[in-house]
Amino acid sequence: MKKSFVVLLVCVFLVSLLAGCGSQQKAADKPKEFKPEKNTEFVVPYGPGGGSDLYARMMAEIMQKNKFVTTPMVVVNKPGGAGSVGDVYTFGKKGDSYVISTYVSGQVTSSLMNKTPVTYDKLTPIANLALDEYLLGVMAGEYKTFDDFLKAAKAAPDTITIGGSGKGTEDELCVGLLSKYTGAKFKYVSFNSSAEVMSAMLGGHVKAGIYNPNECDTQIEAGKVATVGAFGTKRLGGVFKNTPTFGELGFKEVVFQQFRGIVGPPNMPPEVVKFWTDAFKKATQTEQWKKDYLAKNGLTDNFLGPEEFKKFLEGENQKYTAILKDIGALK
Amino acid sequence: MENFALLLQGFSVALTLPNLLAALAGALLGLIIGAMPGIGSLAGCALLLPLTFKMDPTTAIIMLAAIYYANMYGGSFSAILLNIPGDSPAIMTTLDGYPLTTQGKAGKALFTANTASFIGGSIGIVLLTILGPLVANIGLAFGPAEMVSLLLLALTSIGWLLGENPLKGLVTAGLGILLSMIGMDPTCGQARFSFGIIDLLGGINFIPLVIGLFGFSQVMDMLANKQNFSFLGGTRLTLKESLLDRTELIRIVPTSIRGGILGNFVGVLPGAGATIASFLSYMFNRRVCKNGGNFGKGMIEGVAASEAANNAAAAGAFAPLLSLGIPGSGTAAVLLGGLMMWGLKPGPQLFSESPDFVWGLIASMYVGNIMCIIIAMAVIPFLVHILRVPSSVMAPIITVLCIVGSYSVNNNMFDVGVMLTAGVIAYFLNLYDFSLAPLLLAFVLTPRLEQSFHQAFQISNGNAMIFLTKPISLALLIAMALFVIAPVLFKLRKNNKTPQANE
Repeated sequence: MKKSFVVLLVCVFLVSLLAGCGSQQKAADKPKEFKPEKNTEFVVPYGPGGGSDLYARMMAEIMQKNKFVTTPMVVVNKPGGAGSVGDVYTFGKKGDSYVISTYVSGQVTSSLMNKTPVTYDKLTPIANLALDEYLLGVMAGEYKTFDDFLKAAKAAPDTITIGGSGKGTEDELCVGLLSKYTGAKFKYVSFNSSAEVMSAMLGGHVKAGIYNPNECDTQIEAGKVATVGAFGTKRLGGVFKNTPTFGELGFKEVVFQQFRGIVGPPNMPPEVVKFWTDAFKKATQTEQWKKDYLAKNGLTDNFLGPEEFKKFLEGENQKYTAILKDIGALK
Repeated sequence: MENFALLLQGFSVALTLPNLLAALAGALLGLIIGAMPGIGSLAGCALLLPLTFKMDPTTAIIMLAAIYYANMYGGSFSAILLNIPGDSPAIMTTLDGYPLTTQGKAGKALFTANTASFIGGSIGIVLLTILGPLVANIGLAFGPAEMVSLLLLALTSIGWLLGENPLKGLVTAGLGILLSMIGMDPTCGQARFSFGIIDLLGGINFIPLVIGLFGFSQVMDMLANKQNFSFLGGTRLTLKESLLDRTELIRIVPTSIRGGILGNFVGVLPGAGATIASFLSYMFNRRVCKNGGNFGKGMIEGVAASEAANNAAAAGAFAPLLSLGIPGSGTAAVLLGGLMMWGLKPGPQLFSESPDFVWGLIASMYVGNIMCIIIAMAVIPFLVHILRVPSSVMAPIITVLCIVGSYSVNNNMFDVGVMLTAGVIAYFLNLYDFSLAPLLLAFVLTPRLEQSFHQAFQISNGNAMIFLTKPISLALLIAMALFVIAPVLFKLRKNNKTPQANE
């Protein structure tokens, strides 16, 4: 079975090469409209069960169910190297119309940190679909407001620890921003997953943690955890409606949201990019997406087309580079 | 006994026909997935998760939970029969399981594994029923400093694994530590030993490494020695001969109980998992058992220690998941994702908000555990036939399994290369009597130790006193000191009896 799959892949590859040649010749005649005629590989550069995996599988299901794409979209996990392995794979599919990949902030930071050849500008931006929010959580009752937390940090520099998942990740960037603009010195402690961060915080081993909304909402409902600040531009709803943004608290530079986008390989033909942009746009307008993905996981809707997404990525890349340099992760 | 009443109510949920069928289907799938090298419970659950979206949430989680612990049963099959651990918790099972096979006692080894899995699993579930939230809260007390001490204790006890050749064992343990260093440093994010190869940035993957070390090297050995699994001498291995007799049962029950309790507790600790549980249980039982010195030469107690602990750990991982909403293992994290998809909110209030669901799940674990042992016992007579397949047929089949298994983890050809390289190296290590178990254990434990070590120092501002001022950590360190000193004293006492000559 696996062997036939490999043969199929080889075939797909060969056919796509031919298709590539064909479309180039025809492109000279007139701008052609693209419609997929075979399986599309939807690359997720992270493991199964993670945030990007969930995102891709949900999207693929919506696209198929509503017939925005009539041929199958096959989600393929290519984890490793904090997203770099998947990026290199997509990069290697130059000009292929049947490969797309999820693209999130972490892939930009990991290419910066590891100096990998595939940076954000090597891939073809298709669309950004949503922004994931970040919150600063503490044990309920230990600190009432961010102000309390800040005072404690200023009174005893280098002892206030904030847990987060991974090194050089979105979580560390959040802590880096806090240290840079509030004048206090917070200490970032990296864990393998946000579940471990929560365990460490509940056990009193770290003072605070960086969480996505769906990583801490139930703990808040149970009254064990309180969020004292949000990294987004606007307040979130639900249990977070009383959590001020850092902008409201007077630190307007402390803004961080993780983008969740879609990219294609280099030299993806424009008509293919247009097809996917349109299809994803339609998908983001469905009830299922709004209810089962955005609302359930606490994300903010943010659709950007290829041009806007490209500009957005440039800005994000600069921003990440600056913070990573500040925290000493980049030289 | 409010819990007990709720549990009975849970049984009324678990014993409905669709839920029973779900547990049965899950147990079957889990056994198959567990027996296949390369596809662990994590990948198995993640891949099957989408299939369950159309089901009722309780039915779905019952099926996934059944997959999860049936996996622990299945993992022991290939470990015992082929010396290839089906998943990482089964590494310790190979140590005694495979020698038993070469002695023609494969059936007994399999029955021991299943019986111990059942006992361990049951202990885990009973503890979860009675003490779930309490145990989960104890788990929280384990921060980075406590983890460091626990892992140091585990690493020191690798020494007991070395057997007659301490030097060779240390060499392979050192090799394991070095291999685990490859890739991104967990605390500074710097690449180490990656030589600019992007596939190495994430480090060497565990599964291709194990498959290569144990599976592929086995194939090479088979071809080189024209070995054909005919240890059984062509005699039919019947169910009757495989059944354990009274004395054997008496031998494994205490071991399984100890392993079960220890394993359950380790399973509860954040991020520790079934592999560390089976390892600690094996080491602990080796110390406590009457004939522990023979562990590694084909003792059913050794098989029981490892299998009881990993099943108990699988149940233990549910305690923090259900009572705190924090997954205790990678697989539990996937289940957590599933819970959210079904609209349940796993968190501290799950017990009070969805009692039907929680108690239905716990009750289904009892049912599933019984189902697993019935199915597992039923397939043993068929499984042992594998041993009579000639190597000319077996070698290509195992090779295909090795390649598919290592490719399918990350869909990456690089991993196949890792597997092949590891296989060739392991073949030569085997040839010169280097034991591979220390390598693998060092490989599993080191990254965890390194990360916890860094975290502890970050928290304490570089002050090493953090390991001594925390009571749990201090107790573990004292235990470690005792474990190191005890064998030395022991050896001094009987120094003259057995002078051992090592080159």
